[in-house]
Amino acid sequence: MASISTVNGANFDNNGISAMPQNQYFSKSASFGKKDKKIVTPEEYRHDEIVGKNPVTRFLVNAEKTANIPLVHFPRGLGGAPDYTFYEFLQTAKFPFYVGGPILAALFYAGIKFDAFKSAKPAKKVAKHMALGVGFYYLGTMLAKSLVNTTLKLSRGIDLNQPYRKIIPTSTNQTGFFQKDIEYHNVMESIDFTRWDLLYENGENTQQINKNYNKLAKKYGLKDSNPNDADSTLKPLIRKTIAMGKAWQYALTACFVTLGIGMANQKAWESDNFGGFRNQFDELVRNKNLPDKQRLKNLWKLTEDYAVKPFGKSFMEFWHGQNKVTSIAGKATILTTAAALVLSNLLILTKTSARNFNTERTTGNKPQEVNKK
Amino acid sequence: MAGDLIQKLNMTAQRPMQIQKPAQNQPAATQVQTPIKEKGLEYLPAVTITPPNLEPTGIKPHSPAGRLIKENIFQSAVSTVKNYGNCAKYFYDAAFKGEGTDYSVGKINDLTVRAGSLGIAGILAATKAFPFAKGMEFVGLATWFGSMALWPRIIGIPIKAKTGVDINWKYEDSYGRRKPFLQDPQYLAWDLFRHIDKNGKYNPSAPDYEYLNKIGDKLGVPKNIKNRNEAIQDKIRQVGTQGNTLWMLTAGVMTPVISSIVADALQEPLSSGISAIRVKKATKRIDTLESKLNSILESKQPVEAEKLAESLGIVLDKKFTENLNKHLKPELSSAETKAFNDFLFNELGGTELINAIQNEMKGSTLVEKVLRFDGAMQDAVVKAMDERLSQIKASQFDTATGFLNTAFDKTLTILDEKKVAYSDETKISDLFKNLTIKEKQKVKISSINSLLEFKDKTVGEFKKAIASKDKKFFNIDYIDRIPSLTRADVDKAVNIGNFDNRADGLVGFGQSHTFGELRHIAGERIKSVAGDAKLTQQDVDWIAGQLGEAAQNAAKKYEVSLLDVNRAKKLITLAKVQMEAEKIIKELTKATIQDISESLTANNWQKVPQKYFKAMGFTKSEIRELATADVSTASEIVMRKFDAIASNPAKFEKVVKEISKYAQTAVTKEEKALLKLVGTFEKPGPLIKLKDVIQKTAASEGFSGNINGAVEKHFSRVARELQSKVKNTTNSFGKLIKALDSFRSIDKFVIQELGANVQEFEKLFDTQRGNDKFYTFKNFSYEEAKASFTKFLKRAFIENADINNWQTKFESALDGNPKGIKHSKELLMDLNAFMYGDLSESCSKLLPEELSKKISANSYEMGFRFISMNNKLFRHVSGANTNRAWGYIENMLGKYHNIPKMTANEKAEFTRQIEVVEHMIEARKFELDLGTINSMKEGIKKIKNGLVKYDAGFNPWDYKELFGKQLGEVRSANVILSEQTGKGITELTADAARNFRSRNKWMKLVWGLFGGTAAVSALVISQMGKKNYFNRDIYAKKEGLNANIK
Repeated sequence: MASISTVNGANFDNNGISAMPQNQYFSKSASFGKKDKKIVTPEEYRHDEIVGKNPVTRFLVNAEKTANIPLVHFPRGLGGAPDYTFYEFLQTAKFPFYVGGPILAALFYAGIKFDAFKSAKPAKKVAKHMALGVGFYYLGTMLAKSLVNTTLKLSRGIDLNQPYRKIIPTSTNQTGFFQKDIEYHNVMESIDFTRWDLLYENGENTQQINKNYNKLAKKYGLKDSNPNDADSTLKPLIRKTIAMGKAWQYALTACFVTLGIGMANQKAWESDNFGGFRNQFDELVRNKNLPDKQRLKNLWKLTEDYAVKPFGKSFMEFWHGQNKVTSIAGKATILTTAAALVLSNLLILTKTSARNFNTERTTGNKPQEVNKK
Repeated sequence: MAGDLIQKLNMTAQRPMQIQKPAQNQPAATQVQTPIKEKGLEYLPAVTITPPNLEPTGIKPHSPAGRLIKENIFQSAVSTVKNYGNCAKYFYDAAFKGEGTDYSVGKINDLTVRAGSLGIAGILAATKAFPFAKGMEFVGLATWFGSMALWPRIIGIPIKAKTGVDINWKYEDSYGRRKPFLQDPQYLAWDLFRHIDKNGKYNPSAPDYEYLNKIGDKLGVPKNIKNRNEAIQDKIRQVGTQGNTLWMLTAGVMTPVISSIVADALQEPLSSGISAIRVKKATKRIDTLESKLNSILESKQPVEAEKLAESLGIVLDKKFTENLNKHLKPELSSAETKAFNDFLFNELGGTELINAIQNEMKGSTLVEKVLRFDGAMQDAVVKAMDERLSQIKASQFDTATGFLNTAFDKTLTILDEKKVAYSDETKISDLFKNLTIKEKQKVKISSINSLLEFKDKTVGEFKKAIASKDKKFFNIDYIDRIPSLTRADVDKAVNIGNFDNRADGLVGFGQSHTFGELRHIAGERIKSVAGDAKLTQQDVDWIAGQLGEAAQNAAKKYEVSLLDVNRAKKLITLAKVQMEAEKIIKELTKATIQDISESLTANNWQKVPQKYFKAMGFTKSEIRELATADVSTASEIVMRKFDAIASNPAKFEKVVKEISKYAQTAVTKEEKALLKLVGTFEKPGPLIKLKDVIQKTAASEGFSGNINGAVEKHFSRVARELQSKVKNTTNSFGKLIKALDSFRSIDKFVIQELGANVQEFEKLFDTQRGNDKFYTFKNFSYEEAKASFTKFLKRAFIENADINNWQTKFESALDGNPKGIKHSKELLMDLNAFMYGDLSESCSKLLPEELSKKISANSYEMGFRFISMNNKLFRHVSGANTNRAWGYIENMLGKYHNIPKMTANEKAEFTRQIEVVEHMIEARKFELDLGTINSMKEGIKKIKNGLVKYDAGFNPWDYKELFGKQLGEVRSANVILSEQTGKGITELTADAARNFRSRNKWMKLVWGLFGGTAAVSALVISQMGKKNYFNRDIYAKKEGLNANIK
């Protein structure tokens, strides 16, 4: 089955499958959701390319990726499309990750009323802590990932989240309506199969081709590098960087998530209920009679009172604990997180540095012309 | 997949590495892939890559070592642990050395997810050591991770049953890496199935792919097709993809749903377990404490406050001890004094003790604001006064002449304006001759009068004097002559002022006297240098006052507090020890009675009403109605139910028996805890013992009655609160039984009050015209009065019988009669006796004896409290001091002399009455002082003895005053009635209904989600492996030599 469908240029009409669209190279572009199956010339999609270099396109890429989860990946997966990939499976796995936590908190909240007797109050507290915990869980995950990524970006110029558009050859993409011609992967997502090729530029000579690698070489502190050959020095280092970066992202996630849950469970969040916030929000921020400046000020004040201050307070409460055990647990979590944060940066900065590399100059710094066909 | 592979090979062979050309332009591909069309069955034939009989030559690769993993639960646990070990190594390699592969780094995530969840669980578990609510959260989290792992297993079962494909297949590759088999549909290691036989076992002698073929049969892949293996593999891949997607689609809902369901199911056993553990733990600690309290109380040695903690086995907070020692200094500066007081407040604030301690210390242990006139301080005072004097000297000329000069200038300006001539020779007195009154007022009359003191001087002289600051001219040259005060002067003032006989300083009056003396000395000095200057007392006072103020301000900086360190330490330590010991006791309180959210009580309150509810036989529609009804509708429904139960003896018996069972449990549990904590008179519990120990220590240390009283008051309050809470529970449950019982006799009671028929009713009015009952039912016909009164009684039972409601009811509960019931004292008394009387005999028989007694006693007590409480009702009932309690006792006292003539039955009844009184005293033991209680108990004991051995010489009326007055006085004092009333029946029932209903709703929601998701899953599973849009199931018929081989 898969075989027949993978034929390039097969005339499907001959097979009695007239409904099957035949275009292989069509664009879905960034305007997701709109199925304009514009047939583009093969040259336009000649090869995979790095996309999302600025925040706007990055956002659009992410939006398209997200929209594709229900629009493309789930239907294809439920149908058992023969060309379904592991990438798609990973995309669908985001759904339970983001849906499960809120549903749990919501179910707990829905359960409060049945406790209406005398335990509603503590139950509400627990629900609030739970909702906060869920929020902090996601926040912790994001924070850990972006902290490491920021370090890498600033120090090594490596963006683990840099997406590229991967063209799915039509040979494995023909299953009809929910077809897929693009996957957005990250350039650095694989240690074993890093997409080095995407970092090369088209150019006349080696130095032009190596432009990106030479930039990275500077970031890596590769003194005295051979601009014609920076890539071969850098590749193992970048591999190392990816491995370390990812390992620390995971480790920091565990730390931050624990810290977040710990903080979400402190008394600082119990001081007021959401009702109080809502009332004040209506009165002080949404109130159109107040001047805008005042409303903005009030908004900040409210944020301070309901988020910033409890956040700081909960941190301190977590640190001090309510008894010996919690005090140790809180301190341990905070210190571990801090230590992990410091250690990760330290290790990434020292171990991936190329400052002490001695590169052998084989061909000198003169650009080498590339043989053109 | 071989065919697939070929195509890829062909394609890649003919295509350059970059995909530059459109694929259509590749003739080779089209050439190979022409589909075969035959009888509607189409399947692409596979082309063998290598001829089968060609042996590979050269170096052989290692033979592959991959395998499918089949493990039982234990093996799986072992490999999981091993796996984590690997993960840790992977983490070290990646994080510290930057070495790793996609697989190893990916595995780290597994480890960190587990470590993170462990961390979370640890934090949650530690946040509060096993309290109820947090415990629940912990269970929720544990079940969360459980169900996350469980769900793919669950959906795996029906998928496997239907298709034979297990989405949880795992394999280990040649490098020992474990992966789910179907995870990556583009990379499936089919070879691993080659030697798996039809039983799913590894068996190299079995035909190749036997197992897959079996699955293929199940999946309905036609047997007689080309490349069936490949077709089956494609099908399995389809199912795998479908299964994985279904898993991801449903996990987000199912994980929380399953974890909610499991957590909910675990809630009850777990919370009971946690409660039991807490109670046990708390009891153990209290027992230890109690034995230590006992040995202190038994010993005749005086107790030292500082050693008390040690002998009680209490470790005082290190921080507290450190701070205490830091603050305790014999001499405290004012800042230190404030810090010390703050410390006291922080450590002991919120207790009754803080005030007592502060009072106890005031003036003796801690003397604040003490001034000690030692050398440095006296020098400072002298210096300050000197400085102030210099200031006065420097500025006095301007101050004294400023206003004169202004007036003078003003006058000259006015004269200039008026063009009145004057010269430097003009005398000052002449200046004002030409001014009108208005102009004089402008200058200010008082200033002119002052200026006239210099009337003989000329204008020129005045100007000159101002310009040259001639003090002599203005008669203030004495200021320059005022001498500074000296140390000797200060000494003199101190010695005169020292009233306190305190060698070490002055406080209060002594201080003010000293400064008064200093002012006096200063005044004398000023006067002595005045010479011929006209000096007013005001001037003297002002300057002396200034100097005195300077002295006082300078002295203030030297103010200290004197602290009796030893005594202060004892006082504070004793209070702290009491607090700490109380904490131990309160652990049990929290676990049993007090903290509603996290105690046995909470569980009782949650469960018992539900059971009551069931016992009373409410139907589903009634529950629905009750849950949403307002109070009056709810009470109608409850009333209907009560009527139904009361009118059917069999049903009544069943319901009461059932209810009593639950009531007994709830009440007993709480009473047991109360007994454990407070104990009885004869055998006081640890709480009372702690009080005794603290008081004993206070006495040994010679603290005043002030402390003793505060301690007494504090413990009384704690004990009373506990008792109120238990009564609340007893009343909540007992009231229900009492009400059911009374419902049976309401009609009888109404007839008893209003007469059996119209004639009797009218007769009642005829004979009792002027009686207050007459007014209550004045405008009613007999039937109306009956109906109205019956309804009133029923509602009084069913609705919340707290103070407010009672007041309202007695005011105007009978429709159509604005005067209400309150006007009839007789009716009120009867009503109270009926509502708060004993349970009927037939009802008591149905209950355990103890419970029946308890309910009767409690009910009686509530009646006693209600009828005599200080409310509006009271004012309208004349002679209300004859309350029922007193009535009881009077009855009892009066009967004493009849004892010799009493029958056995009468004696039994008499005993019962005495017991009620005993109960009342017991109940009020924390409201009366010890002496009164002991005297009362003595009296009761004597009366009781009289039943056995009559003592003609004993006069019970001697106790009349004691019982009548004292009991009467405290009947409403010190007790918050609403704390004891218990829950109203309607409220209890309606709450239970709401509880029941919202729980059902929640269950419906959760199970609805469960069912919905399960249905979606079932639907998807039913379609799995079937022909669909993506998988068209087009097969080619087998042909050639093997065509007939199955």
